[in-house]
Amino acid sequence: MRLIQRKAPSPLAYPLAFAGSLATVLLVVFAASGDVDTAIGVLSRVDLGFLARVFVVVGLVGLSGVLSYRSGLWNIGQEGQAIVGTLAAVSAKNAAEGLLLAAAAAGAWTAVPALLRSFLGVNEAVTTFLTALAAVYVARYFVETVLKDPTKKGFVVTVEAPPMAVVYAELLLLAVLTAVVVLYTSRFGLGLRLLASGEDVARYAGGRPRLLVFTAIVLSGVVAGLAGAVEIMTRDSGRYLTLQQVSSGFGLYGIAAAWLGGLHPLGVAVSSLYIAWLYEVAVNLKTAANFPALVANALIGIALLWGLAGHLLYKYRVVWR
Amino acid sequence: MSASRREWLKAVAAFAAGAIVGSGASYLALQSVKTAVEKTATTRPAEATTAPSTAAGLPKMKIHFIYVGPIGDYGWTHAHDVGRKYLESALCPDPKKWCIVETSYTEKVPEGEAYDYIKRAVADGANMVITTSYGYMDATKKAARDYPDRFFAHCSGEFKSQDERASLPNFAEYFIDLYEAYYLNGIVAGRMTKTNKLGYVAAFLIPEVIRHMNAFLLGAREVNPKVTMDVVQLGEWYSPERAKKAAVALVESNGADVLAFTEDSPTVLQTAEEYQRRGKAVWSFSHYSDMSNYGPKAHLTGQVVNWGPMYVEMAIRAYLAWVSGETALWSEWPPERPRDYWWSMKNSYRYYDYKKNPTDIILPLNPAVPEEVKAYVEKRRAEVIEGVWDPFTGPIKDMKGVLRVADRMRLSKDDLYNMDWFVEGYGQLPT
Repeated sequence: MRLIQRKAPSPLAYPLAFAGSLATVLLVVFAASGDVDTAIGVLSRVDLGFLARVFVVVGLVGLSGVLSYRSGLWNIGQEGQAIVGTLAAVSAKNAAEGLLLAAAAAGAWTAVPALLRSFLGVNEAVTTFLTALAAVYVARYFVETVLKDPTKKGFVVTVEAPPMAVVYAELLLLAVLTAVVVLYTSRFGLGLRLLASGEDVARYAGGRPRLLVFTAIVLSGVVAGLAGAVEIMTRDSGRYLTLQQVSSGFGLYGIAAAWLGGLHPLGVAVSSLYIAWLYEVAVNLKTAANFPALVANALIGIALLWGLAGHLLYKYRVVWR
Repeated sequence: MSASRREWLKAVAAFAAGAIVGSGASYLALQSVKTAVEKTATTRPAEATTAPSTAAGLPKMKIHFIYVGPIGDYGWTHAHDVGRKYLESALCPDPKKWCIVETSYTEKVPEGEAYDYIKRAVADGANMVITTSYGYMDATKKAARDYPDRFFAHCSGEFKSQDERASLPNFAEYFIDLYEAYYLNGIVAGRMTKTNKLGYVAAFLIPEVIRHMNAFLLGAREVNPKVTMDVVQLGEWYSPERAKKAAVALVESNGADVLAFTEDSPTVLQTAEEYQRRGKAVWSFSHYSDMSNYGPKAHLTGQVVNWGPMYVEMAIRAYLAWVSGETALWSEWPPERPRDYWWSMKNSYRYYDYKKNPTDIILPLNPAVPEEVKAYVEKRRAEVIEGVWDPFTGPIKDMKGVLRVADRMRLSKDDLYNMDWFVEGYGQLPT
């Protein structure tokens, strides 16, 4: 078996990847629940409010993924950028301020790997991942000191983030999605997309590679920061951070959504909805069939694999010989 | 994009596959809508009369537990799950004949999603939801407001005010505290140490852990005033590798030879056991569950928690209120602080096996502990259980020399719950 590059990329690869992922999930669910009734219950039970919330957060992280992967840059530190955004949201007075602060803070946080990449050529996959690890400890420092709620006496809990209606969060997602689409139709956006073919190509097309690389990584970070802010502000209750849980774990889900959505903003909207539904299925498995909590990560990991396979089949075809 | 016939065929095939999958999905969606409609058409307020009942004619109450960790961990969540099983065995000994509760649980629930899981449990027919992590407090209180016909209990939180307590008649706070057991451990530690240096591995310096540390040090200094104690903070409830590093550092660089800990693994005890095998006398304890087989030589004693008896008490109260409709049976208990259960060694029974006690020290002590120490520990234990002695009996000064507990006074529940000061005798403290 060999892979041969297609003359023209085939968009069919992504629906196939979706179908494959869905088939795998159905298999897992039916095998896990043992009987058809339980399986149908697991697949069909949906809490719309919860789904909407997960969808927004995953969608934003997915768009953050698009902004970097479309430019051939590997930002895999969304989890850390989201944590920084969450911290900023906690320190804000109202939701709008929370979003602005989150964007600014996450942008500044991501500027470090961006500068390292654009000026010194340091691999951004490594630096974004390491800064994501660092973010957890930075967040803990803030939880213990600056943002700690003094009324909770000795308990280490931050003050509450301002509330935000899920509807506004959906509108924000729509706005960011539109912005990305519009950006990619502009001349500068073309430069960003050409980066994937190499910096020389972008330079030849009249772009400034350093600026483009820097912008792509920082924009990606800003959107991930918004995701973190939205995650904490749209909670029904308990909009605070404790030391035990400073990260929500939606970073990985967003990366999966980006690849499964074909690195296209509109595709990400679809795939995030699918990933959010997968998360719901995992929660159903957890409660209905008493499955271990990690099954969610397994299902979404499978979706990510299918997404990568889809990306491969988009460019190459398999020849059985 | 030139699409050959083959490409088109593929597209049609994909469309067909999509249509099949899609129609299947819509069928499922319709099914779920149908069941949802059926559900709403038949849902009535949760009355005992509509609940399934057993042969004895008693209705069954559904109790759902929400855990923060995996039930397989060796500490917190595992202990709560043991408590849940105890509750089942006590109130549902025979599902066919005599059974008044049915329990279920969800593990590893993220704090930000607690409310969604509680809502889900209620939708699945839970009459009582018990949440077992500090971070779930607000979500549980909100659920108690949203579902006034269900019962809720939350572990380790507090009522912000009397008004809040009055506004949440279906919500209880509960906790079992171990500070008295730590105090008794401290007595043993103060007598066993040769270097007069104790070490403490703490997960987080929250009031609960500070209470443990202070009580431990008070016990040690009661029998050996020369003792000082160094503390290392892990920043994790469960992190064997960090706990190991901390324990080794306390022994090697601080010269500690008795190690206590508040975290979710038996690592500190295992480390002490390794030193014992190499011929160095380093001692440690059990915490939360009997860990003695992790360090048969190094294990001095320790404390276990039994949530079971407390769960039985709360479940029976809720059940009686639910069956009779007399909410006062649930909401006005315990009389001194309604719906605020704060149990400790004072709720144990002196001559009971520790497995039946709500909280107690593991006996017997290590044979290496001298007889007179055992006798003294037993005397103090009896006094604590009878309520004539409390570790935090004044005069107690803090590190700065300020008198925190006046002569012959004790601390109130609120003082204990919010403890954020350190008694005299600490060496190195995490900043």
